[in-house]
Amino acid sequence: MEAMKAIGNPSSTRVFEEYTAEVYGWAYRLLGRHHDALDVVQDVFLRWADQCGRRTPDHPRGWLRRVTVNRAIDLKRKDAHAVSPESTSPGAIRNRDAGAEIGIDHQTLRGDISIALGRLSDVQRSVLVAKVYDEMTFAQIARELDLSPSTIKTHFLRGVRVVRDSLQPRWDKGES
Amino acid sequence: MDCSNFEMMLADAIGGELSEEDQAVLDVHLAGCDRCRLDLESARDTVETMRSLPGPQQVSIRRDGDRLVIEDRGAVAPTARMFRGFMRYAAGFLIAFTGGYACHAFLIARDAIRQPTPIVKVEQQQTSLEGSLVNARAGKPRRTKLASCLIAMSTRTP
Repeated sequence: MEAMKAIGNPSSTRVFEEYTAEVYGWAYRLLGRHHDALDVVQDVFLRWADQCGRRTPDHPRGWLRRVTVNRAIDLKRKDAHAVSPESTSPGAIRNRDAGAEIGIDHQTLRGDISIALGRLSDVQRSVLVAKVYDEMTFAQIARELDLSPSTIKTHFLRGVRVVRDSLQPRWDKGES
Repeated sequence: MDCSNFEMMLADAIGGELSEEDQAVLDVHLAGCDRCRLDLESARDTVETMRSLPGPQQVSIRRDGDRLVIEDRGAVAPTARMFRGFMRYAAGFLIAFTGGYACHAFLIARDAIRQPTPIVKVEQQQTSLEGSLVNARAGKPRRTKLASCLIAMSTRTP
């Protein structure tokens, strides 16, 4: 992986080893495909290496989350009509016989969520992902982003409402 | 009714951080405000929907020289997963059984060392042919079959 070569100093290597699994997890949640998530991990840590050459972020996790989500949304936009690997897995093929295309539905749901997240600001996106997927408290997110808890809550509410409005058509059709 | 006063409470309620006192206050407000009630319900549904997207199952990360290999072993067919589960269960059972048997054997051996069994002298019966014949002629009760045959043969009149 090129990111490993690019990261020279020990502190960057430590961050890389400490957060790779989380970065991969964020990317996978939004993209749903192993190889796309790997591409995002590589891009993110190459950017980390560049960033450390200028100024090391005070909160690596928050920085990595923000960049990962942004990169994943960009990738999702470019690949809006990809076939989900989940729809070709043995379980999904059996389910397809029963008429339930769970894998494809997950990919369209990911697409809808990515579109909604794309409408948010960087901070709102970070807050939403940190709260929903990392299950951090508002106080923890506030410390990480150097903002007040009330500001974090406001961003969270705004983010949830935007995603809800994007998902409303699905619920109106009766999809989960 | 000013719903903006309840925005922070709504955020806490959606995020699962609302205290019991605030929950009671919010419940009173929601009982009289359909807009906030629907807002809260739909926001919770949104969070649950986002969380319904599966994440990576079993991520393993290992170094291979200057390369990093990330594997997600979650995408395994159900039958293979069941087989692995069964093998793990069987291995655990075998280990437990072997360990239990080893402990049992150890305890038996330890007891045997502490209480040596008394040596019982077994008189070895002389079974040589000569001895058998001597016994037979002396009329001693211990007469081997062979000795009986030989006596019979020797007393047979030609």
